[in-house]
Amino acid sequence: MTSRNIRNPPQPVPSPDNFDHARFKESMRIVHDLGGEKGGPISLEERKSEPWELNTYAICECLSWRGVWTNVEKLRRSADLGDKYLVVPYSGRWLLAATRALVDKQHITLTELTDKIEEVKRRHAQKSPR
Amino acid sequence: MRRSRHVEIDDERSGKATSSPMFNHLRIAEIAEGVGDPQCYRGKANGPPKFKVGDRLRVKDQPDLFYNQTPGYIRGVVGTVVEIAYESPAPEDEAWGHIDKVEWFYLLCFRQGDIWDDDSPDANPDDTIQAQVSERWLEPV
Repeated sequence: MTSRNIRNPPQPVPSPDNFDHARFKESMRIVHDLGGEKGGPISLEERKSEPWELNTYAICECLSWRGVWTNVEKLRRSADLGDKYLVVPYSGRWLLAATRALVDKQHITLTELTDKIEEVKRRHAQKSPR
Repeated sequence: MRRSRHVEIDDERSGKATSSPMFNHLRIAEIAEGVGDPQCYRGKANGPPKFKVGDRLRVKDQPDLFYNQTPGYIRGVVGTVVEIAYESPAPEDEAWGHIDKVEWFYLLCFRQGDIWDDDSPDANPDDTIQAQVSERWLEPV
């Protein structure tokens, strides 16, 4: 079995002696700060939300209501996702941010979560055999 | 769900998720109830607004350390105050749950030509764009 990780060619890590302030500043740009960049065409078609998206919005509101986070913290946590911010759908950011908040604040542990995901997968497989 | 280590015994029956001062966001839900956010911070800023409508202000290019909501494209650009919008904690603080330091937010109007070098025929440099910025990001020209 081959590894699922196919490595990209390694990017050179900047060496400290040529890492000037301009390069540092550019490196520190926050991932959501995209104003002025080419973004391609925007679809203007109405789209119905997927059920998991609606569930995500409800989870986010409940977390605010129960005092786990605030809306600004949700925004910050989605920016904290780094490269994942740009590669998952819009609602996916909120879902990952909510998950991370629950783990960071010790409401759940990652092993509890992965166990639960396994359990739900098993249940789902029994209900709808392929 | 396992109970958070930050839960106080008092809160257990009411099911409040957090009560540690570090993660006390429930306070925001409480103070905003019925009034809204940022209305719940009205009168909480440390003094009156430093700037007034019509003032020409430059947006400071402060460091990007992990999080803020000041768009890069208005950094260093001069805009005009069109409205003193509201009082609120700075997003940089609120993003980590710190709400004790409240400041004034301004709605600024910028000329597109001051922001973008765009000489395409359909771009009008006199078009404007507005952005909301908190007081700490602003300095008089």
